Amino acid sequence: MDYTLFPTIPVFLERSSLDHSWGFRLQGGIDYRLPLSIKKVVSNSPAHNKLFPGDGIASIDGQDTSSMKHEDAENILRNSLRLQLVLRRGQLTTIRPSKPAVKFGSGPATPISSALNNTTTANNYRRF
Amino acid sequence: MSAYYHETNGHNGMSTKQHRNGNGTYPQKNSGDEYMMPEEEWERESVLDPAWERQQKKTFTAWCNSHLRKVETSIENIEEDFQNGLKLMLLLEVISNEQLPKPDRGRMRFHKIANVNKALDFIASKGVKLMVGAEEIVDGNLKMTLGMIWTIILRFAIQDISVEEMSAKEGLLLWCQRKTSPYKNVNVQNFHTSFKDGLAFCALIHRHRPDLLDYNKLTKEDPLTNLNLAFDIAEKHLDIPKMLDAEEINNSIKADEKVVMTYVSSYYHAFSTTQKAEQAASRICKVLSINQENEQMMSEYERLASDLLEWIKQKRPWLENRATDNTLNGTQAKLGEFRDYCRSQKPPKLSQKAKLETDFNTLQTRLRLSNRPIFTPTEGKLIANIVEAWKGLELAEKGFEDWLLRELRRLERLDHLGKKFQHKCDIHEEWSVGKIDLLKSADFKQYSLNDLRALLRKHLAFESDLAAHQDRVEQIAAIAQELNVLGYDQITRVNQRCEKICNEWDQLSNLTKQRRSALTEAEKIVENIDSLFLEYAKKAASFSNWLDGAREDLVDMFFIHTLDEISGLIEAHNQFKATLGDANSEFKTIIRLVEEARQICHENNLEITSNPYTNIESDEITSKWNEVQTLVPQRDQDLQNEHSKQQQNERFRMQFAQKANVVGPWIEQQHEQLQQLTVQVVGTLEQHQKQLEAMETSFVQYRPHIDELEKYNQQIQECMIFENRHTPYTMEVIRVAWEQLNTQLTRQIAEIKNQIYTLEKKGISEEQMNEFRAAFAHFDKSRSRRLDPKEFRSCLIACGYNIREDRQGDADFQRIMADVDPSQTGFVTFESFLDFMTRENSEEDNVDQLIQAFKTLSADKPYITAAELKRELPADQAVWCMQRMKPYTGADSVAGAYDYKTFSSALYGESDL
Repeated sequence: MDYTLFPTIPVFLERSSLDHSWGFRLQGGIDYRLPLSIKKVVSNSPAHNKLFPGDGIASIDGQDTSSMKHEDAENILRNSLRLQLVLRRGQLTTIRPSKPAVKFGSGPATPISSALNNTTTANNYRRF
Repeated sequence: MSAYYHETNGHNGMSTKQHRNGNGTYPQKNSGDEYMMPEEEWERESVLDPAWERQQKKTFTAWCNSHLRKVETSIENIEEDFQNGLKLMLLLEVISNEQLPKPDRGRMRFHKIANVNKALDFIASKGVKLMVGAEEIVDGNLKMTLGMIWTIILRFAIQDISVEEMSAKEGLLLWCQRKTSPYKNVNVQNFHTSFKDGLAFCALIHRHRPDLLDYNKLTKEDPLTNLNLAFDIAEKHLDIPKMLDAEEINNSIKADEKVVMTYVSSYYHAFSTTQKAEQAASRICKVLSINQENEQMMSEYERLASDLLEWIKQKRPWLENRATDNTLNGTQAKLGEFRDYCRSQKPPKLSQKAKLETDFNTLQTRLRLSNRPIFTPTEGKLIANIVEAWKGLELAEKGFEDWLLRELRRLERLDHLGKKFQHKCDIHEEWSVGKIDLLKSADFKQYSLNDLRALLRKHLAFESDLAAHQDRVEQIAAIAQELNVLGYDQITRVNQRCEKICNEWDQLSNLTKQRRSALTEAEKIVENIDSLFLEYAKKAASFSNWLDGAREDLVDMFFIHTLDEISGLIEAHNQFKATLGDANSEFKTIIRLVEEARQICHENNLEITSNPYTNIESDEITSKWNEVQTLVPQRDQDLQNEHSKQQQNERFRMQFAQKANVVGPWIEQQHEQLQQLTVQVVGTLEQHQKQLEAMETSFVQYRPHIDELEKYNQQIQECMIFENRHTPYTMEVIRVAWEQLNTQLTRQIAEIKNQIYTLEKKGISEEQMNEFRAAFAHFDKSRSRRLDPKEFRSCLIACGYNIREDRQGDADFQRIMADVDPSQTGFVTFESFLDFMTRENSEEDNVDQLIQAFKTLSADKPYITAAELKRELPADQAVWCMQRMKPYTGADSVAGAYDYKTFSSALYGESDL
């Protein structure tokens, strides 16, 4: 996937104590084959108005996230008081159809070629 | 305007107004719907029925106490105990769960009035307009006090029941009707006569706690028992104090509606608490069981994958090993082993592989449908790894059989050549024995001139004999050479023998040359040549040579594979036989020459001398000639046998070809039919599934035909038949096509099942499903049952997605691709397409729902305890949770507290930070 297509935004977050939540929900990670990203944001939290649902996280404190597991990222985020994030805005926003679909009738199927055509030798049989 | 209070359903909830008449008393009516009583009627003084007053006093007192006991106090006399306002304020604090202003200390009347006013202000602040003055309460006015308590009950215990925008009373009535509708003899229409026989109370209890009473044993005829039963059970098991008097309810023509409503509302609150907990528990159970099933499927996948990979790892080296033990038997055994591998070992593994793939897809579909993160198998057990390992296996397998057959052919030829070599060597050595000694002898030194000349001639004859043997020696060397090339295992012995023969041959040539020059030198002395035997010698030499050749040819071995070849041999043999007449006259001529010589000697009384021109005796010629004559019919027989064998081989070929020519087209036809079914679904998915399963049954039934063909094939291989021009099909082609047919069918069935599952889970119609299928098929130009990114993009645009031809469009599309093809295969299957198109439109937050459910179970605590889990969930799920939940670490934590929030989000692969 070509990530350069998304605008990157550096964001700085700070909190006074580890007991204070950042106020966002993290999803993804290489183990889920989904980019690390923001699922939702809690109002009036350190993350409020800085992170938005659908943002992809490109790096955490300068560390590239492309091969990070969910748990790795979670541990870093949990144990920091200050965070320097680089976000890809809207990377995970859901895309929806904007107009009705074209209807397709199920027309006659095209003829199917036989599995055994021209198979006089063992090595040129058709794979399917 | 209503009499006692008036309700309006505004957008900000309900407001209650109370109207008062001039003299400040609250009327109670004898009949009719008192809530809708016209204003004039409730003005009348002292209309409060003493019975109703008594009922209200008892019920309201009990109701107040059921709340006041939470702060460990109570009232005894309702019109006295609220006079100073203190317990009234306490009651309001308990039922509203809010703090009221500090009460005034002091026993003066104005203190009491101030406190009662604080309570009344609080009630007013909840949107209820009261028409009662503090003085009336302080003075202990019973009617006013009861009216105020009723207002409180209505506002705090009944108002929030309002169902579907109805008034509080109608809401409570509707709740009773819904809960009691399944019960015979109960028909709740109001809050007085409908409850008179007690069955309605019993039905409400039984509906929620069937363990507490046996409803079927109750009868309408025994109202007192019913009422007391309900009141007792409610007090004992539901913690609802007795608020009504059974006899009074039963005896009064029409019980007071307010007291019944008050009591019934306590039932409502008691049950709604347990009901909420049950709903929460069942929601959690549903979520957990999905995760449990998924985990089971994951470990099953891992187990199957390990199994399969281990088997491939075991089999591959064996298939890759092309070392030969150089024996026909060993190679035959290996072929048998391979046949067993193809027929018995590989097919179950192939279906295992197909199962693995379909299981994997099913699991991913389930995960997607339940909004769980996708499943990534352990490193090295990805589908791609399996496919790669399988490809490796097939690569190793490819050519293995060919190699075995080639090896068999080579070994057979070696066997043949080895025997031929022995035979030729035997003949040659038989001829060459003693020749060297002969050539070395210097016997001719004392010979007469004549004898020397004879000796020279004899030597010339030997030279031509030698030349005649040159061919055979060359053949021997050529055979030895081929044996070397083919890697004959007894090559050392062959080479030794060949070398010996060649060396000897060289020596013979040299000696011959030397002797010839010696004799030529002596020739000048030799003048007389005895010509008596000359002709014989000439003829006998060539005839003997011909005889040697003929004997050799007659026992020559043949190595052939077709009828044409054997016919050729028979033809050649017949031609040879045709020359036998000439040979016979030659033989007779030679014998006659000897006889003639003998005759002359006899006639001239001479001693018969040996023929100086040749060593070939007439006896030898005779015996060789006789041998040739015996060998001819033997040869006839041998050739005939071979001819029969070739005919039989041809029959085996035909047998295989006839069967293969039936089985092959059958498989082609089945395949075509399956392809049609793959592209088009006619009728419902279930019908389609049945059709596929019928096909599966027909395949199983067809299996014996394949086995029969295998049997013919084995026969062919055992007879060393390598080519068959009667059929285009080979066993390998049939096998592969058959396996593919079966694999594809299995996959089809699994796909259809997945689609049915999706259909049910997503609740989409067959019609919608067919539309999706049609759209997909339209863009699947290659009929490969998957779309490449370009096709998929066009398909999305056709389905209404606005994907532009610019950078933003590319970005959008890549995001969708990453979503539908997480394994990055570069293609989109129908299943993932369907899944993508049917994603739910509302992004409902599963995690928050689950957290809410746990919160309900834990009575609003931010953690949950082991005891709570065990109480609310089935045992196995409670254990499952406790194994995975982390301890709760918040400041308000207690020992053994579990963190259900982190657990809930982790179930969906998310974490709250």
